[in-house]
Amino acid sequence: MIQIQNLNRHFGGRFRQAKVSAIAGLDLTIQPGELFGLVGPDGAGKTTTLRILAGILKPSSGTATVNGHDVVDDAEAIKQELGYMPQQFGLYPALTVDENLNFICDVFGVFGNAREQRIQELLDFTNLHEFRGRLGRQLSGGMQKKLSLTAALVHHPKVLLLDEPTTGVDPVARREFWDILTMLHTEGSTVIVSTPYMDEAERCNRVGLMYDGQLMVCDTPNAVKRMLPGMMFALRADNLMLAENVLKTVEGIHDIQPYGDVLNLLVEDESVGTRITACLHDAGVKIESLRPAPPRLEEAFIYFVRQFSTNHVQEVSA
Amino acid sequence: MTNRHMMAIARKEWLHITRDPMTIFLLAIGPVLMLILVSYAMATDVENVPTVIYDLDQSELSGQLADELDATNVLDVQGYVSSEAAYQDKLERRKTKLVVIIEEGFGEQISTLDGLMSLETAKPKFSFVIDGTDPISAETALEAAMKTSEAFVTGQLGAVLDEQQAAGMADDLITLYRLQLESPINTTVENRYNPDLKAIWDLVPAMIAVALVLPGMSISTVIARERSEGTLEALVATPINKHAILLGKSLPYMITSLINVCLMYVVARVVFDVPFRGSLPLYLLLSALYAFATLSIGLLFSILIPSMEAALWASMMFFLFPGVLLSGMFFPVDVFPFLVKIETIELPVVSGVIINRGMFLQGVGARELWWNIVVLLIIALEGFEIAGRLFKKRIA
Repeated sequence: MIQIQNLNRHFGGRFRQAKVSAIAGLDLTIQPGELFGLVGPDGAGKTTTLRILAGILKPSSGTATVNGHDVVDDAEAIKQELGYMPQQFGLYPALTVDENLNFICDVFGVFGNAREQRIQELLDFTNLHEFRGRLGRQLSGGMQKKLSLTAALVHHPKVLLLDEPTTGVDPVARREFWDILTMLHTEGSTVIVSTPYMDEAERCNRVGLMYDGQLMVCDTPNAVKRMLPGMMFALRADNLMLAENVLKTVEGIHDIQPYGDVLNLLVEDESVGTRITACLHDAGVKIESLRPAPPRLEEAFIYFVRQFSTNHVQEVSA
Repeated sequence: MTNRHMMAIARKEWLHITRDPMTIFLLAIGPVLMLILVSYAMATDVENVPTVIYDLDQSELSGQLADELDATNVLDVQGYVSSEAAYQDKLERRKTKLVVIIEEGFGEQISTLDGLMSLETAKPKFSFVIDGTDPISAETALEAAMKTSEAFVTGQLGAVLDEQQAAGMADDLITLYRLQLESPINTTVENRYNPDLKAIWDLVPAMIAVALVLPGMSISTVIARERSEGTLEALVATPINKHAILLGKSLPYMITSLINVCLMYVVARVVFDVPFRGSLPLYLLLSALYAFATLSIGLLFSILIPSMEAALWASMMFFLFPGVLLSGMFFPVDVFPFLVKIETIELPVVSGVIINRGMFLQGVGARELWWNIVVLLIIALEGFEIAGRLFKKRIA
């Protein structure tokens, strides 16, 4: 179990550097066996949170425990039970896949037959068999990510922390990656994964939306989507730019999000639809289609971020 | 176009340099420090070479001579010894570089008419013993001691001659004696440890010590390299004991150092024909200690200095330049009076040079080298201890 209470971490503040708050009053509890997704825009504090949980970064204040071990006082005990995959390729570029894995096995005390078996098993499901002799630096970005994951799994960790494991990975490899994570989840591991991709967040059993060092929303993906007020319309029209400008002034529209050649409109209720049609008609926009659409996590996420940042700006200016 | 591109690169490079305060500090201060050190070494004359007097004459005049020797800039007379064994001991402990032996009857001979008259058959005899392991200091000191002694004898006997001239001694005799006073003494020089003054004998053992700082320099980048390659984060997230990380990183360097010592020993003996007069097992042990000390310091730099470039700079300035300068290879060690006091405390390379020269040429053992051994032990253990304390298994 992971417990985070009123966690704060800031950087800088010395030598006339600006003090930047990466995490500000974070509270979060993650139960054993969860597949938890930490999502949020760049700079939201996801990496800082994971680093603190991995015991490699001291919080400025507040407490966090992993399986009952405090991240400051008992960091080494956490490291024993944890698999941590940093965002950056953390294995040795000058060593081969095999040499890297053997090093990690040495570190975690996996020896003899158990080692050979474990490496075989992990290479099986990461499909890295044919690259065993290749140097770390010669691997593609996706293969490096898989190797990092393999290394993090060597010692059967109870808790797995993955920092953007699929960033820069092609869609096929991403799919494979998530199959592995799902498998680990069904085997009972606690997995915490940070990701900027909303489709990945949908695959978690719980997601936390982080923004500006705080958790805005934290629930199952479906519950998060249900938190969106009103309903969603998908609009196709001949002039989306004009349509967007016109609709900004229409009452009852909470949010407008362009998505390819569609405009996703978050509205109060169905009645707003007729108002939309009328306004666009007056402005000379030709509507191709306007129909209710099921909200996805992406819309929810963007909506919450916009809500939060405007509230935030108001708070700051007030 | 090219110009604009060049300026773009230059501006970016400048930002890079200024972003890393350690590098800019070293870039700014390094050349100045080098200038001061090297110029100081080049410009300063040898001064205050520790000297002892073995006075067999025990006369008032031999005492005066000792004062005159002390009055020179070059020599610093630290006292008298009463036996050959005593000055032998001082040479071995590097407490003195020059021994002036004043023979019995010296005072008598330079103050009387008889003495003046005996000049033709037996000039006053001086013996000097120098420590050949620091040839520049020793040679300069020897020259100063000879000139001073000569001038002292000439002065004393000149006064005797003046008296005789006033008393009516024949002019041709006076001229004859005056001629003899131009070279009034007889000297023998014994060069301990390096009798043929082979420069290579002094150079090679010192160079072994200086060359052994190279592993210390390369280890100073190990943590910075992990950081710049991005592997440090994953490494500190593992449950490896932090001392195990530091020891594990040192071990390969330690082994290469020891292999190097053996190879350099063989090269010194076989290729350069340098004698080895100490105990070989002790030499290997002390070389290991010396290597450990330089590696400890290198490791400490590695932990303190976050960028590879700055770490390399710092270790070069700490190991290589002072090592080469203070090792006495090119400049006598004594020209840095204030540095001499702190050298052995701060710079393992100086102790390394002393141990190597001592064991190759002087044939000394642990008893004579105890101070350097203690210094290296402290540097090695303290350096490692501090490195271990400062190294946190965290990334910020």
